Amino acid sequence: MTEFGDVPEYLLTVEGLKTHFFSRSGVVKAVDGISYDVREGETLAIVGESGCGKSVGALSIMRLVSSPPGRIVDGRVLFDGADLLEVSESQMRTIRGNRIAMIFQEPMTSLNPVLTIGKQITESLELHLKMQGAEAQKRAVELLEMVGIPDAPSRLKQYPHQFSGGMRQRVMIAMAMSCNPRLLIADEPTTALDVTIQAQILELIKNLSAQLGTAVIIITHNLGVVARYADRVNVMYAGKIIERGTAIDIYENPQHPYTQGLLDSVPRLDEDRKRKLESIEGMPPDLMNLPAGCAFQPRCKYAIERCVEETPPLLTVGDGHTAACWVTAGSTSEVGA
Amino acid sequence: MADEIVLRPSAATGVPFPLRWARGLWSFVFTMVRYKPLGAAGLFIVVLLMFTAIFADFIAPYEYNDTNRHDQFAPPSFNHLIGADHLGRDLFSRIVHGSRISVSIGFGAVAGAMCIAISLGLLTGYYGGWLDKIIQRIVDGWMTFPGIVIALAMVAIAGPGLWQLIIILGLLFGIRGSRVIRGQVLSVMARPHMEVARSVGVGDLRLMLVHLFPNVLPLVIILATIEIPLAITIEASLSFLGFGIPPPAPSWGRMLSAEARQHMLMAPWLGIAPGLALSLTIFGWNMFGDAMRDLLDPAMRGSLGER
Repeated sequence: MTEFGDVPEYLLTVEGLKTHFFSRSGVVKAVDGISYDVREGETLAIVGESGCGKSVGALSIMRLVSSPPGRIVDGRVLFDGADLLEVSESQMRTIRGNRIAMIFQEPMTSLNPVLTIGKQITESLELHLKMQGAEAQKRAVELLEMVGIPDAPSRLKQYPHQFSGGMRQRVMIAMAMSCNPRLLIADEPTTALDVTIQAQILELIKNLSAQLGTAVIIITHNLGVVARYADRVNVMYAGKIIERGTAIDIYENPQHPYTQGLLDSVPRLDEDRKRKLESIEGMPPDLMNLPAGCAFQPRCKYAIERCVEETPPLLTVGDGHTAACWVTAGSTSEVGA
Repeated sequence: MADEIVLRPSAATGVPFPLRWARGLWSFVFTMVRYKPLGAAGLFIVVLLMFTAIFADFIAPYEYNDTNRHDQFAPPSFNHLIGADHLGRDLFSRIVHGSRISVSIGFGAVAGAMCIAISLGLLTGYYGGWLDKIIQRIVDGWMTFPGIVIALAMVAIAGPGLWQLIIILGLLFGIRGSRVIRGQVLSVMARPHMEVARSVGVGDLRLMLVHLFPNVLPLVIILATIEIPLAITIEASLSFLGFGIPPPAPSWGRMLSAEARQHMLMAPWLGIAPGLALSLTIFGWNMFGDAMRDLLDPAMRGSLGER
């Protein structure tokens, strides 16, 4: 029963995931009840500003949230019929890097400085596919060539500092793709790279995932990335998903005032040049001390009394398009998802 | 300008660059001589000391325990290169044989200390939680006592002797060193590549040994080169006080107290020789250790520090 109708096959289903951090001064609700699905082979974008819980949500799927202080307090993560939050740690290790792989945001520091590139790429081959020696080396060369690193055999013997940022991110992609994962989580894969390299890396991820049939969750705060690469989009604010729809829905017809504000704050080539860029008033809320009702309500120019009294659920505003807002969605629809 | 670039081959990169030197011992020695002359001098003294210790039987003209009534307090001569002591034992032979004690204590105690420091440091830093709290509170308690006091108390229990001293000093330095290793472990654990390794499905043991340990290794080398001269000094102090290696073993520290103090005015070579041997050894290790720290310290990575 979802808002997306009759597509039965979900690779990943996240239900009511809550990840909280327990600090001395209080509980930080970094992820506070998010639900979404990822279909086989699709690209899902999770968008939001820094600190809205998008990375923590992804790490929770992999069970990599450092504990203490973090803890997944509630929810289910169904992947391939198993609840990843219930399986044992050793089973989880056979899934990490093998069936769910991850790319991180800091290519400069994501590789171990004292191990060769070859050693780091062959590691998951050894761990998951039980490849050894020459076989693993051969596969590593193939992987490096696949991500477009020339002169692969000699590059394997080099250390990370001999690679540029973009090259390192390519190595990360090679590592992530080494076991043909069914789901790739890319956590802001282009944040630390310059714009031309960003495009190359994103194209690479897109082409490889299309070739191998990998589903991708791409976490970003870059709305341009979303428009170009995502099939569907989840917009997050203060630990909750506040709007979801296809990329077209979100761009053409944003329903949540926050999404509208985000889009208004980005310059576009196809619009009147005289338009002033809008900014969203105020600051993101303190996750330890959320405002009553809708978390966006103190910054929202449309806020009504109900927004303070009651937290809006995701309300259906179109086919497969939902938004958590009493004002823009509430008047026209019934409760969705 | 160009020269400076050559001098800083790995500026702004993540690798403690001496690791690459491990490929060639010669290039390491060359770099030491070129950029760290004092460190190279230290290295020379250290190598000389080890050479002496290994080939003591061939270098020394007499056994360390050959007494000769006629040569009591013999001044330096061709027969006794740096004189003889109150029992007519050849001082040069005793100094040469004494280097064995120095080297065994230095390497033995520090090897033991590193084993203890690395295992405690890795375990407490990696797992954290109650394990870390309990073990590191014990370390805190241990560190409140001055080293020499602990060593004296433990010698009183275990009795004097080379092996006892190696174990005692190993414990003493190992437990203290675990705090230093743990600090480095914590800082490496916070680096993104550890999370990446986890996301690839690496388990605890492999994460510790393959991913964590090589990043801690430079610190281990620095710690070892600092602790070796310390161990030698403490052995000498204990032997001087009569708690170290029992006679007739030629411990430099004991030679300073037993023979030299009583007969210093009459036969000054009895004090000068072991004193000089000790000072040179400690100086050599310290200079070598300093140079190693400059070359390996992550905070000074890429630069060569002061010459």
